[in-house]
Amino acid sequence: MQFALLEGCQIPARLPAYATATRQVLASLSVHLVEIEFNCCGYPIRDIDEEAYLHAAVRNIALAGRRKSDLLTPCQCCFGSLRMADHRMRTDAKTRGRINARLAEEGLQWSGETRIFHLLTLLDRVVGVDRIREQITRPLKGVAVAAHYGCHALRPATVTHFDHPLHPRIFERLIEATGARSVSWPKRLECCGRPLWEKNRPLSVELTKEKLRDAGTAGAAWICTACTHCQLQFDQVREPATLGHACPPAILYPHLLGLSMGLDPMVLGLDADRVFPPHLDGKPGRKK
Amino acid sequence: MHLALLFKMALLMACIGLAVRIRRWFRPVALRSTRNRGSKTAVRSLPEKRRVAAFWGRFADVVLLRRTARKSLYRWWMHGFMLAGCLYLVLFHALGEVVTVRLFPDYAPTLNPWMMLRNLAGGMVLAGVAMAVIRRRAPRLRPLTRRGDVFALGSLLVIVVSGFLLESVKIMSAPVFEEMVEDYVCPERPEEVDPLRRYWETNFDVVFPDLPPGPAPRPVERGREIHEENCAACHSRPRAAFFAYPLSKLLRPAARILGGMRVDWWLLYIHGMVCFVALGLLPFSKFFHMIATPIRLLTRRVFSPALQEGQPLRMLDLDACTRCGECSLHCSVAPVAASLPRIHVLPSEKMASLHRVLHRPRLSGSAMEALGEGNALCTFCNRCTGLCPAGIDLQAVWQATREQLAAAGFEGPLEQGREQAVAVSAREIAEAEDGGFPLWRPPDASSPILAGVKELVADCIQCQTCSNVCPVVGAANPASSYGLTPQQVLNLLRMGLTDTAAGVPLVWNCTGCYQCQEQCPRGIPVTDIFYALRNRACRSVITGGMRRAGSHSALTRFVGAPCPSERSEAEPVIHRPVSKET
Repeated sequence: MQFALLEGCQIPARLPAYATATRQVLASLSVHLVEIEFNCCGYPIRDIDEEAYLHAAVRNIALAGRRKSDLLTPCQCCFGSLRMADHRMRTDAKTRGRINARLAEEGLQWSGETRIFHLLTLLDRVVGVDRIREQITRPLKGVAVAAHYGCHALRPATVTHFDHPLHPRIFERLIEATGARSVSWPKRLECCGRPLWEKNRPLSVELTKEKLRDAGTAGAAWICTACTHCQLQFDQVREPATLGHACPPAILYPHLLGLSMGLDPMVLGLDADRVFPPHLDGKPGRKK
Repeated sequence: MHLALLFKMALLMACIGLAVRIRRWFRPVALRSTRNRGSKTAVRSLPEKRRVAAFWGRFADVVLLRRTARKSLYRWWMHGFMLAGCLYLVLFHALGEVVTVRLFPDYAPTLNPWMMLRNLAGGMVLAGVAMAVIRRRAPRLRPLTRRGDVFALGSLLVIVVSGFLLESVKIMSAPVFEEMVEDYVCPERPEEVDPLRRYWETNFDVVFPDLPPGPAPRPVERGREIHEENCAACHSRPRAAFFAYPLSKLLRPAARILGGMRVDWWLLYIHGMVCFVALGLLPFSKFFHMIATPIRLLTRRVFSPALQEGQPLRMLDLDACTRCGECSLHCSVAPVAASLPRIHVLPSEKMASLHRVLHRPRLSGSAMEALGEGNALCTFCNRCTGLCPAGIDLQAVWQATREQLAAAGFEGPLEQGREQAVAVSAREIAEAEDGGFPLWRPPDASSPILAGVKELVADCIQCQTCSNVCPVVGAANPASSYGLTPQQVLNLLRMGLTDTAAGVPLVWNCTGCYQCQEQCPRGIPVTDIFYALRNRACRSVITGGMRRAGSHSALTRFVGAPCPSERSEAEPVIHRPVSKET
């Protein structure tokens, strides 16, 4: 089966390294990707107009369907948005008819056959942890990593089918596959604060700081994310140096995985400006 | 001659216009991004070696239209045809007496290869225009086509077609022949020229109305002699004009009438006048991109294609836009534009709005509204910047305008919806506190979830799980961030007070994390209900319930703000914490 990578709107502009690393890691795991020019996943417009959101989201699914490929996105907000729209199309005949009629104007159709994966669900369910473990050449022994589950991939679980909503294990499984140690921390399922970044900055920063402190208290050297928005939020809130060193930096999962697979940091899109690779002795890397 | 005078007038007008418009490139346009978005690491300057490579790359962008070719080969051929054809025609045909003669002293427009090359260039322009018209008529691009585009393509079409017609009519025109004979042969008696007429009738396809038929061999010999003596230096046989010659064959039956009415004269005037109108309007029409776009491409800062921060808005960016529409065809939020046609989401439309705002500040209230709403829906994905053939940093344009528009009160539907809902809700709460009772209204039937909300909420057992797991309630700093807890909002909905519920700050500070909905023991879709409430408020804004017209002070603030260097420091971005008291 081939997968069409939907990068979303934020990755190309603000976090190109996420796409680079995802492509590299998947290539190493022999997952075949196809290129499609997708549109916005619809998440940003969902606050304003549901119909516009559904149309935009389902259009992406239909675009992938036309190429007979499954959809893969590294962004959890895109993932949640697409899964929610897919769910609505499956469960609500009226919506299905309306949206399909609009898609038909440009020769597209939602058939319900396209599966939607997040990077983590693909790695866990399609590739499998065992195959990932085989590829690890430089296990990150002893590095304490806190898994940050993004909200939109995890909930509502009946829609996203990501993992158990109250006791998920998928991210820890994948982190431990790299040889790192996963840290248990109370706020691992909480919101990163990003949705309020534009609407209410102080509240947004407050939510993030609480999470960062919590992870630091739990002894994490790194917070591992698998979502564009979460990573951007952690990076931006950490930027002012006022937080002290109790707050661990965030790293994207494909970077963690790529480094443990022995891939060159430059190939993964990591550079001195972005994130320092985690030191194998378990101390947190520092931002320059 | 009148045409020479007209040409001088058009040239003068073009020069003045160019001076006016180019001067605006150096005047600061008072829009500047004040907020730092995105990680700064996306921007890196290039090392010296790559800087040189980038310079040659930009040379290729300008001369070989490389950026155009990257996205669409069709457009590359189309634009290449028009560019090469027009360049040749302007330099070697229109300015033939100035340019071509200097380079090739034997030049005459009726000699080869000039005749053939002119037809080739004209044919290329025609092919380019035809391709452009076909492209513009495609369903997605058609609505984006404006008067300026029609004018540009139309004037090119008229110029080329009238040129071909003029040439074909002149080929067979007897009056033109007689004029030339007057000027160059100077015969003592008119009959002397008869052999030449005969010769030109057979070899140059001139149609003489009253030449006696049946050529004798002797006069033809004589005709060739006169021709070689007087005409051959400037005239090749017209067959080389491979567009105009077949056209003249086609028009041959009407040759006498055309000659008699001096249609060539009329065509010359049409041809010339349209050229001069296009020249005079060059600084004010789409043709201006011929100057602005290459300069924009050459002066692009050598940066990685990723996001650039805090760039001031430059007039050059707006002038360099060719309105090709590629940005809109590939826009990430284009499907949203299809759903909400009232909002100008598409990049090319926003450029047009911005153009209007900056050029005609007095008329631009609706343009600013369109721009503000469109900008608010932009996801800043940078795709348009990456593919703009003119090399405009569109993302920087959106960023520079967004903050200023928000400050002027054009924040987009979400913010306006919030303000409106909060105001209505606050009024209802105040009335209730004064001893009145908020009005019960029938369920809002605009969305399925709100229509059935009373039944959904009827299941609520007041366990407060939603309030306990809500991260916004948990953060509680400032406490006014939420106003009421989720469970209290549900209670308002249970009472049928949708308007009151829709303005509760919690609804607008909801992160959409779905904790409440996931953990609700009764399975109430709390988050989805909040989404529906926000949709409801925004819908009333979009459908024109209370669209704010830009006040005059807001306009001057936008247009006439001090330039960035004059400002003591960037205006701080004010985030009003949403409070119950607002």
